[in-house]
Amino acid sequence: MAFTQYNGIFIKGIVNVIPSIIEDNLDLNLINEEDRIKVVEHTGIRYRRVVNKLSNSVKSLFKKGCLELLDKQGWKEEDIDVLICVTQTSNLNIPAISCQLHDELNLLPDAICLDVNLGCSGYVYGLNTIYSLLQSIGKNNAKAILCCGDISTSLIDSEDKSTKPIFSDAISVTGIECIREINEKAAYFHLQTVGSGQHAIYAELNEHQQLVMRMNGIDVFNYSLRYVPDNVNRLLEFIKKDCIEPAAFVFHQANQIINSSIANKLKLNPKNVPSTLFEYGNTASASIPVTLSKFINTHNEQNYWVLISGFGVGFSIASALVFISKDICCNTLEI
Amino acid sequence: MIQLTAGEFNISVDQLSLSSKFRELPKWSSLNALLFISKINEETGVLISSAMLADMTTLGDVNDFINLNII
Repeated sequence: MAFTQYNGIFIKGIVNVIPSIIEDNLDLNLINEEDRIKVVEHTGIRYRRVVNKLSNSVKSLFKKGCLELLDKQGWKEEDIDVLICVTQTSNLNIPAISCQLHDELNLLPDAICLDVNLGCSGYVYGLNTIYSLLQSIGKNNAKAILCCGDISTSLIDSEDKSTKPIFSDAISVTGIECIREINEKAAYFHLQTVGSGQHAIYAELNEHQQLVMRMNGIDVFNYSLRYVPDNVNRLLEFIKKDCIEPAAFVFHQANQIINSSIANKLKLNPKNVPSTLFEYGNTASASIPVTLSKFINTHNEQNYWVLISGFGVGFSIASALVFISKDICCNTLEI
Repeated sequence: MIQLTAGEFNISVDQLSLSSKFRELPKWSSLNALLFISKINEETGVLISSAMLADMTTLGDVNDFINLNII
């Protein structure tokens, strides 16, 4: 039962880095015209973003996002105490992408850097790891950066009708700060793993010896419906004593079939469940911050709580309630 | 089961029976299979994994599984 809670640690800003190349599922030659309309109608995904892989890598996108975040927040490189990178599609895993970025961003030797090998639950897992480290460090105004996301299209088999219309490229960078004088509740987490679901989404070498992602849609649906609503409900039960009412429920953007089923099972009002599936598709671990940013930028309340929930490859499930303060700054870079 | 399948696959109920083989339905595809499984879950609360589905052939098999597992 992995519940955690933190005081005085806050998300200060989010920078999303979105490729400007757009693919339209209604133009997808892989499937016939009638089925294309059905795919858009049922998955909720019309457009997907595809990065130019000749001029970009996950690391270069993370770096762009970090530089923009530092600029927007007025933070200096030497202010950063923790850097965590969540990705499953870095070109070079050794050394860790966070260590490579540490060098390129000129962070100080005292900065803690580590990589997390997770997909769609990775934003929440990464956030929990950062909150935990910042609380342990205990330094007032300690600052952390969470980079997450994938170039998922690098793992797509161009003939695979299950994955091609779904996955999209994007990364997101989140700035987090520990403000010790505000010793109020700031986040609650509930983290879980169900390893028996590892075969629902996995990577393997195809006949051309290329690493490709395989997805069993029915099993992803089954694991999502079996575990995500329960994970969320148990978190809500855990925080019941603190009388918190989330302003929104931001789920990983898997596809509309799964997301609607989860929302229905939790009896949520659809207007409290923002989506970016139509315009961005499934952007793996970046989908929560991308969708959270959209909600924050259109929500008028000044201080409120949001429930975020990531689930997928692993099978890994993680939900959190995070406090969103009025000074948070979210923006998007199209590259 | 017949009503649900007819609705999901846009087929007349007269063309279906519990002995109908679901993989032989004209519009059976990976997307329609997922929609079929999600509709069953929505209507009955029962989840059917891909392994369980692989062991089934007819709509009657699916119906029996639901009746055994419905809460």
